Amino acid sequence: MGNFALVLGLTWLLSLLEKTPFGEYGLPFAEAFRANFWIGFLLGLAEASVLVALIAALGGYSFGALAQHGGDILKWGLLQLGGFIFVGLYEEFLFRGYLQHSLGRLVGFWPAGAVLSVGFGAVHLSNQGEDWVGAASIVVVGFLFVFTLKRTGNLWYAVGLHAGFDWAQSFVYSVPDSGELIFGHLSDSWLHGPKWLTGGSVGPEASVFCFVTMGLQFLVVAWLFPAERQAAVQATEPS
Amino acid sequence: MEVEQPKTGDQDEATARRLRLPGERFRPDRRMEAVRTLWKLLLFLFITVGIGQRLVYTESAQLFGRRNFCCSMRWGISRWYWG
Repeated sequence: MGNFALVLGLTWLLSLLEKTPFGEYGLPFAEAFRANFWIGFLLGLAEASVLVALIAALGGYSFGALAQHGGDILKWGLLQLGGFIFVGLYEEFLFRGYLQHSLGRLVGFWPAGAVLSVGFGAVHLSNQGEDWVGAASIVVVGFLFVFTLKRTGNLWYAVGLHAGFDWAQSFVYSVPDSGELIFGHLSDSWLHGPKWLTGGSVGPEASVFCFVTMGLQFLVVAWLFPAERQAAVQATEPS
Repeated sequence: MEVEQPKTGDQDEATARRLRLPGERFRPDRRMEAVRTLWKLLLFLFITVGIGQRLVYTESAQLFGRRNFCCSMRWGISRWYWG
């Protein structure tokens, strides 16, 4: 939350200095937590579910016994949900907010997206338990987020997708997320089997199946937000 | 009195000079704009990642306690890795 507040404040200051409407940096307040955010959230949840189901189908995941009971399920579920919404807001706005906007103006939208996606993957290498396969997976998901920015026009869908995927992994399926285990997960789950299947210490993000589910996400975004419709929306918007 | 009209070739040259001038002024501007943007990007990264993350981490760990703030100590990472 503190990190997000810092990025938000600094971006707001820069928007004043550069006389640019704040919404142009990717998080227009008018779109906050509206349909695109929740569609993204549900699809993030769905992606993590398909991913864990594929690992489980090959015998690599067991849900285990419940680690939380009664009111604790609601308490930890909501706490983690709130936390991961801030993780989504912070990481998306840091990597695809002001940086994407300004670097994009300098070198073009996609080259900027590529540079920042590689940076996005690289910073995750400092996570406990992260490795090169996990970082490569994060570079690909960075491209997916850039793609959603291109197609939807802002970051709210990406924030929802990011939060939904992380929350499902960390709380619902109780597996490591980018190599980190979060306190208050739902069950004493268990990943077992080869690393290519389970992702090892990184968690399902480093499973080969994650690259498959991310590919599916690209198709879903392309289908939900066709390029022609986005072009039409931009054409009708006042400059 | 008859005013001497410039020849067509002279006109072309004058027009070309006029057209060239703004372009020549524009190029250094673009370079300066690029330097300014890069400088701002680096400053943004330095504040948000270089200083901000460390500051927020330290403050949060002090406020909530390292155990509650960070990853659970109850779960060893090795359990996942070797399990």
